[in-house]
Amino acid sequence: MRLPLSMPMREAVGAIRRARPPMLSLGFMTLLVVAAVFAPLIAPDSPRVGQLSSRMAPPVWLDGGSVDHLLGADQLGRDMVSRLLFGSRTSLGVAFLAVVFSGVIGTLIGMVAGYFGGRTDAILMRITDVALSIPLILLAIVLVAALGPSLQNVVIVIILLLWPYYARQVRGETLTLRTFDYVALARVAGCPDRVIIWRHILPNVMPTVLVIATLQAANVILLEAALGFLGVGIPPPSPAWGLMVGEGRIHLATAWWIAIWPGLAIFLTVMCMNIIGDWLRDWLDPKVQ
Amino acid sequence: MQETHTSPIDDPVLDISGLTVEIASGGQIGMALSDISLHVAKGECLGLVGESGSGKSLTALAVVGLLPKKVARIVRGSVRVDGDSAYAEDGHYKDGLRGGKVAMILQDPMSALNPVLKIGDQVEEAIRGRSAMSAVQRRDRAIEMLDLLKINRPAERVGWYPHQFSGGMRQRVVSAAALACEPRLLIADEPTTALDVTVEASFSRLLKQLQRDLDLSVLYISHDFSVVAKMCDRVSVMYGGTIVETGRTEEVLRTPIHPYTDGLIRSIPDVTQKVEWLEPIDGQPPSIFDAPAGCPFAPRCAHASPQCQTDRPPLAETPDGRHYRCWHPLTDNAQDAADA
Amino acid sequence: MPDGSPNETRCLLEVADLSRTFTDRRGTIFRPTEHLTKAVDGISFTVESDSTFSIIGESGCGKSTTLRMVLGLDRPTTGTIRFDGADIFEMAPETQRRFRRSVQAVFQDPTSSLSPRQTIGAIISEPIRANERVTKLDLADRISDLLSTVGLSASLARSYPHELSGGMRQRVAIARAISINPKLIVLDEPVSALDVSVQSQVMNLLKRLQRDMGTSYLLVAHDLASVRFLSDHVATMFAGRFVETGPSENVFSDPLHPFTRELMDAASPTALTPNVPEPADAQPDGDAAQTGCAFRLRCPHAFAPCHTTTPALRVAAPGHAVACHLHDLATATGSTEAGSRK
Repeated sequence: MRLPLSMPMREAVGAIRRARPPMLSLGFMTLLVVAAVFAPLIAPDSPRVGQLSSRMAPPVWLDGGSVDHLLGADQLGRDMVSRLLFGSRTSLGVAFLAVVFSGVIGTLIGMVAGYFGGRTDAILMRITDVALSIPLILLAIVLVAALGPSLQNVVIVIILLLWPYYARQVRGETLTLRTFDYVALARVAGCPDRVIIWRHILPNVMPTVLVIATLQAANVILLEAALGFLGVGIPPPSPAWGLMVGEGRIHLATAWWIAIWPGLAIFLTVMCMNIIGDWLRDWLDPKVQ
Repeated sequence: MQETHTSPIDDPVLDISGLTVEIASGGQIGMALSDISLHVAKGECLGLVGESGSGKSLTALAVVGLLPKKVARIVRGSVRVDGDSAYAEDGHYKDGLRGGKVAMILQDPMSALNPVLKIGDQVEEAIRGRSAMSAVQRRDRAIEMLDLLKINRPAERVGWYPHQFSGGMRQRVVSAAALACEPRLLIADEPTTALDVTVEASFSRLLKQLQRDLDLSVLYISHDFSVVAKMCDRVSVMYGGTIVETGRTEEVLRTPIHPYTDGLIRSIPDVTQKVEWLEPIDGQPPSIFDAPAGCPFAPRCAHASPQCQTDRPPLAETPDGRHYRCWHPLTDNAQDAADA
Repeated sequence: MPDGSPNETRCLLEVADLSRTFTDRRGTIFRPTEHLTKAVDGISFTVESDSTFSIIGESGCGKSTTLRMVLGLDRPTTGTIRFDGADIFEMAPETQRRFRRSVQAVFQDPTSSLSPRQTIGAIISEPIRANERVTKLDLADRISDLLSTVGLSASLARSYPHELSGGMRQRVAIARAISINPKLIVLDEPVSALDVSVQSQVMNLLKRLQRDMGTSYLLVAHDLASVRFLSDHVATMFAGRFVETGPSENVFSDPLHPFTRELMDAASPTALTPNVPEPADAQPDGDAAQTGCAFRLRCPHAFAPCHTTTPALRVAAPGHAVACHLHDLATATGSTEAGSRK
């Protein structure tokens, strides 16, 4: 935020150029969210029912492509554009729900452990350590296999897997915050613990939580995609990106577009979320400003 | 403090003249130092007293070439060490000056020491590459330096880590490293502020003794007049980025010329007697970004006239060689000089 | 009380035989050893209503630990702290609430004692909101009253701490402390982080508030001049113990303990005093302090008994007690045990 004396214009241009990847990412994500919300209005076709006549139709610019299916159609003749649009609802929806719920749970546990310390801290953190030491994807497979694949179960499983990351980070910050004079003074003033946690701890750990949430959203999309790819994610025929990649895998040699488009969508979304997360971390850190 | 150094002298070790530095922050540009001139003679200790934001630490940074490049810029003026300009034509600080002729000790000795290195290695670091010494000679030199700083059992202590020392001892280690390369000029930036009063007293005593023994020139920066009174031959008082008054320490303390100096001395509570009320200077120090057009002290000054609000007072000199910047100086001889 | 109390004073805070021992684990992971550090070692004092009791000493002598215990932020290992006659760690919830209303604090660093994400108004009114039911309108009135009491403009209520200078922030911290008219304010180095010319402003403010509101202060500071300015009673603390206590004027005009004298010499604005021997490396740690006087390694007058027995606090003059063998020697006969001092 400091503007040097010499050549402020060049610096300003440089600042914009440096800020561009996060801005582009934000733009892309906004577009994606809008598309997901209005998918039923935008999508040219149904994502679930295809026409066998256009089975494996190539994208419009290849031989045999048609304007009916701009990005081609899959092995059941379903329009790829529609599938991708509806798939974004699933992927973003799962990411949003999982991140919000695991964030709330993890932040609460982290603040309670860090603030009260002692035995509370020891018990909560041992649970967290255990949760962190379980291999993510294996547990997800087992759990979904046990509970049965459904959107709800996938979200629950992901929440169970993600909260420890918040809890550990938030606990660390709370330990530092707890030693600040204003927390001691709030206790001297007679504020109950829940008020102190709500008023003095939470606002100060929020930036960290937001950054973790952004980076975790990218992870959730990947995780959901991996589960879908392995066949234990959201069950077909619901459109989901991971599932689409999994289904397109066997047709890769003949109809690459079935797997590549959802793969590209996952890649771009995850990259944008990571860029936004990094930018957010710098932007929210008063020391960097 | 018997032998006196009256100004101006022939070959000052440090000579700052007309130094003006701009600072940019939050899109604003402010004059952090305006027209600073001072000199430190050989073997002399000059105190630089001021409150936070007065520019005293910035002056020190300009002398050692550590002004934050992105935000601070030297607009005018020169810094000369041993007669040679410290800055090259292109504005770069000259190599080899810092850690050679010029050394520095800072307020917080812990952050000046690397916690994972033995203190002997850190003292040796200061002399490595500056002289063709063997490893054994360097170690001997480090032990000699610790001994000079009155650290007991130096041969054993060179193998200790910083956390094994108390605050006062750490500051001695830092000073040993600073003095190891035999500097001509030592910049001491609030070296005792982080220390307890009793430790402060013994460290100040040691530094004063070393300064005399080594005939060292010291620029001693402090916010505390009582420390400066013990340490320094002459003192310059800074306020709002200018030096408002310079003179022999006991004269400045006894008969301050500038109203700010007077107010600052009066506001210090005296431990030797019980008083009913203290005499503070009302108001707050100015921000460099909305500095008054005239004298920076005018808004808080009881003697301020309309002229003080609009015109910066020039540097004036009394017949007995004291310098000040004030339209309404407090002492008679200064008054005479102003009238003349 | 051993000395005849001048007029009717009421004992507000009563600290008796207070100790706090910290355990830190050292050694290796395979052979852990526990190391005990006595941060506070059996101190007793009282703070009377409408007066100031000050503790002076070096960093690490146990001053701040004492304050934390008085504020109820830390529990003593042994000893009691009674406020208005009730033990603060054994209070019924109702008494506890009254205690919380009666004791407030001002800390050294105004930057870390004000939450950066709250407005000045919210910070000042925190104790009020925690202890009383007030309407928004009343609260706004009281905030502007408090701001003007500490010499700040009422318009600052909507500002954030980072927009204020250090001196103004400390005024805000004081405004918060007086917001619910406490009987006792604990002051932990209230001016040492401020600029010199602002320090005296804040000290005058503290003195004026005490005169106007009749609040008692428990002050900890290393700057002796400010202690003398504000205090009625003073205790010198070294390595967790009180080595000298007494009425402020007696202690400052006639310091009896060599450590108090060393502090005074260091603080006096006269030229360097050359003849004091260099202090040894540091104050002795817990082990060395177990036997003998903890100050003996730095004491220019240390003699045989100092190395073997810990001197007890004995009355040397009315209300003035000192823990030093030198003084025991001087008044070898007729000295009275100061165990039940005040």
